[in-house]
Amino acid sequence: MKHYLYIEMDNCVGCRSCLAACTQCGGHDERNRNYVLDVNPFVDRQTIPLMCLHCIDPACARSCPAQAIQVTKEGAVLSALTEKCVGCQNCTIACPYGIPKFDRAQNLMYKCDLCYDRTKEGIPPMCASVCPTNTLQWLTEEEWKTKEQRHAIGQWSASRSPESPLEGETNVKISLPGILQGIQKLY
Amino acid sequence: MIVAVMMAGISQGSDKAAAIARGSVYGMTGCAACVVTALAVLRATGSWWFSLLLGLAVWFASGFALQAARSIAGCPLQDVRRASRERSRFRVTLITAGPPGVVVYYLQKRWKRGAVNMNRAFASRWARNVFAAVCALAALMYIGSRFFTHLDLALYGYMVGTVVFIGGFFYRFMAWAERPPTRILLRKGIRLIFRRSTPAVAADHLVVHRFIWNRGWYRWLQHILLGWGCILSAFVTFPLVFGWMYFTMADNGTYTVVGFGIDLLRVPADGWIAFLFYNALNITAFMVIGGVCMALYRRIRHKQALAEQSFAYDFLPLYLLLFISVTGLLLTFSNIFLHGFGHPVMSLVHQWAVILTLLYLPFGKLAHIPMRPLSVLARNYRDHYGQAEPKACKVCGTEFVSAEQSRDVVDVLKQNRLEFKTEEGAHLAELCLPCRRKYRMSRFTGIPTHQIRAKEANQDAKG
Repeated sequence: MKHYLYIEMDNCVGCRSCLAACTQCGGHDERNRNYVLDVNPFVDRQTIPLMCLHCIDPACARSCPAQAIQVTKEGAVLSALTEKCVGCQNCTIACPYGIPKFDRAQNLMYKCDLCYDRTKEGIPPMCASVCPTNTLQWLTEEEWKTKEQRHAIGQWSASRSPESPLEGETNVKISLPGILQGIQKLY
Repeated sequence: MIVAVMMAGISQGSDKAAAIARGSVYGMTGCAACVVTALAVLRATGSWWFSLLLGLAVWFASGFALQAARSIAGCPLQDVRRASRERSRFRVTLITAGPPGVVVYYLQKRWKRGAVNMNRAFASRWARNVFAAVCALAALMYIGSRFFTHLDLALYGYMVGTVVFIGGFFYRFMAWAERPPTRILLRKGIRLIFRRSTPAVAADHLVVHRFIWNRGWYRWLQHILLGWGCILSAFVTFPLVFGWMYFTMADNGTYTVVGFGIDLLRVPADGWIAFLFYNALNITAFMVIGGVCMALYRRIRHKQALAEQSFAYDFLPLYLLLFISVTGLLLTFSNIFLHGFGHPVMSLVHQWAVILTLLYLPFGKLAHIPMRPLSVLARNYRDHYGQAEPKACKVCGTEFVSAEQSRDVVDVLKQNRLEFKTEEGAHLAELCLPCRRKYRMSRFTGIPTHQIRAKEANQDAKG
């Protein structure tokens, strides 16, 4: 069954559990691959997690001269293949969200692979499985459809078409924070 | 020819098809000339290699001559005057300088017109490159084997296999080099190949694999065994196949190693250097078997490998290398313990395994062997342009990459119909990575996070 990682941005309390859990994923070598960012650091404590959004047409893979970034049939954009990555770092420059990390010593790019060892079996990725506030959710297609319909009712919709906060269609779905925009969300 | 013309006609129109048809006619006429010449010269001189060489030369020359003749005959009417003037110049050259002068005259003329373009002589760039590579190989074989006098015909299957491999290799790698990012990196990287740091980087990346050491000693050892086992085997096998290296015994008990027709060194036949020569492929076979076993063990233990691996991509090359090593060792086993029993069959099995692996090489995981030198080019490209003109982030001013690479990535993305503009009008590839992430926050919330001078905090939470 197709699953989606879904980010309910309002819920994030900045505990960094997702970062810590990321380090424990198989093959991540104890290094995290996602980010938790302060939205307005000198004013309030609101944070939002940012991870690879697994674009349908990934700029990182398009810019890779060695075809090292593979997209799985589930839509996960994998970390660079170790034997192919030549260390040019085109992907880090191409990614519109600034996600890929680069290890100079290993001459290797590494990025969120949606915990492919887990998600290809339908198990939620590490970040979603530990998130205490349900900011990161692992939804089935139906659950996502229901969320999307609810979004269409109010103006806090995650994907306002002409004004999309993303740079293209992605496999990770998001829901924008309403409070920060002065809108009350009903959940 | 008919199939080629039809295919070209369908995919690229009648002009291209006509060009291919003409080229085929020239080629086949040249082929007939080649056969006639070779037969005549063979009958006259009795030297098969000379007749073959002359035949090939006639093939090539007559093909070009026909093309040249047609282009003169078919010149448009308005050029008749100029053509007649040219014709008188041609006659003068013929009388004064003879046939060699005519050849030079034609080359000069065509060069000026820009018509001496090897791309036009072949149906495709692929055909041209394969032809050039095979010709270069044949020339090297001719020189290296002392004019074809020291070819080991027991290895001719490998020779044919290599020629077919060259076809597949160029097919795969020319397609790869056509991708926009690859094309840019190859072109600019090759231009920078003579940087002072190139030998050090190449040794670091391609010889000692320090970047793999940094990924863990197990992977490094596995790769050194596998990689150098294969490379050393190739260094032993290919010179033997092409006649570039062979052994002679002038004095009883002493081997002379001949490389490219030059006596390189004399070694006692029962000495330790000779022992290494006899057993080179046995040693590399054990290296490869060790590496394959380590790799297979890692593949059944490592979580990420377990998740991402597939039989065709990850296991097949390992099994092929294992099969080659084992069948190779069985040849030695048959020699030492079985008095050569089963040797003829096993040597054919081994040969087929090697040839199939060679043919498969450009299309699977093993393609990273010829691809890997790109990492040296990439390092040069980053270092050179990084020093020449660093790129300052459009938001915070931090230098994070070279201006050249930032521009190149923007170009490549544009070719893929991807253009990421910020509200301020900059391309996202002009922002440093932290600013790009903070810019996304601003898109999510409307608060200009990227304009706030605060570092990303607490990003290194450990599990």
